Amino acid sequence: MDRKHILSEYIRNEVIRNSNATLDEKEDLISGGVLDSLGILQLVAYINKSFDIEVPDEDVIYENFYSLEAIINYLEQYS
Amino acid sequence: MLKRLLYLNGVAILAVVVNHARVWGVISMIFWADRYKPVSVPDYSHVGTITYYGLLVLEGILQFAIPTFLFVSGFFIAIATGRDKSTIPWKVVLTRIKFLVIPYLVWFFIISVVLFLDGYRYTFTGYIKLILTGYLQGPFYFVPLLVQLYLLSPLLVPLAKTNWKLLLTIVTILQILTQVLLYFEIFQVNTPFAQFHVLPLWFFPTRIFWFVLGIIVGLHLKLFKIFLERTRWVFVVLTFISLYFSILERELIFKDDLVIPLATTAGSLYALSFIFVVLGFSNFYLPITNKVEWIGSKSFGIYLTHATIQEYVSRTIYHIAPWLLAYPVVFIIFIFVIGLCIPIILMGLMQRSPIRRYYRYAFG
Repeated sequence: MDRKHILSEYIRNEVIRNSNATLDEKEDLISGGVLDSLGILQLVAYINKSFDIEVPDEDVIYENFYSLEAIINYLEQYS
Repeated sequence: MLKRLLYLNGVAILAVVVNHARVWGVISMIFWADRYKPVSVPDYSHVGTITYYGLLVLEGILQFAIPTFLFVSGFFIAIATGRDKSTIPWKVVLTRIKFLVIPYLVWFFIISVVLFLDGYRYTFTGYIKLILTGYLQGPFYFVPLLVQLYLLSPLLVPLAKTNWKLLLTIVTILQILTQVLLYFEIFQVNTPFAQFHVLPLWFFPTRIFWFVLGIIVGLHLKLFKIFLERTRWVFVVLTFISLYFSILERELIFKDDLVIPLATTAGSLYALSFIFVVLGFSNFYLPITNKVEWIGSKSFGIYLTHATIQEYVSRTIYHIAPWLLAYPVVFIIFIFVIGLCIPIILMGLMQRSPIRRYYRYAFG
């Protein structure tokens, strides 16, 4: 599975808690209330664990984490 | 450093649950002593015992909890604002409030029904007041407080971005002022503004400092890291000194009253130092990190539910097993475990049920 699928599954199962939910990759997860403070911290920890990517603290900002697409784009630098 | 925030949140919720178990321990020692020994209550014979001093120290150590929650909430505002926007969008603020208020109202309703059946009945206006202040259940005040702070955040962020030193100075003065006013009340000093001596905990000036600190640290993370790198050992020393003075302050001023929650000046300095030490030594190993972080991720659900569970279990013990009250340490540990485990079990059951998609409306 690619990163997009892994992250999409994580968000649907662990954050939204509905594996049947549709997740638009452009959907604003922060404004929509999907990701809150602890949700973002958990997501960063999950990225670290699943992809072995240590996201620098300074990069944990809205622009990099507001949607699935933004997260994937951000993580591309670690390919 | 960021991953430490989740750990910090976990330690904070554990501290809240321990602290409320401690309160029931104190009640068992003072007000329920006649259930296990031939005395009239309140019985203050415990003052000066090892258990008494142990609970005093424990109370002092646990003071960092609410400041930590507010700091983490403020930090989220910084993340959600990002680099490009001048302030946090109202949409984000209102969504955050929605996911705070709905679980709060759900549990407010459930607890109101329990209390109603127990004989505690209020008028419609009374219920509205209880919702707005959080006075229905001890820890509930945190929700109205945080809602106020979130509503203020679009005004705070621009200042935190462009003139953070000024903003930090203002909220520090406000924090000191609210605590100085408390001393007027304690020492019964008459002033023309006596009605402001004791500000309610749900009112934002009492705790805005911690929220703003979180925003400022989040927005100026690089600067803060450099600052912490230079000063973290100073904060280690300050943690112990301020903890000592906050316990001394509590003992000298409040004597044997271990139930009333207070935010003293030394206690605030301790909370600040504690948070900075945990963040400052973020590369150091901390015990049971995964478990504490896991508990941290469930903090809001535990926060909303634990106090009522602890209260009813304590009251049940009072009636059916009063002998347990004679062992305050065992009783406190038991109430702590119950207060932590039952909410986690409830959350786990809901997560495994067909209604798991509504989990966030029940537990945040």
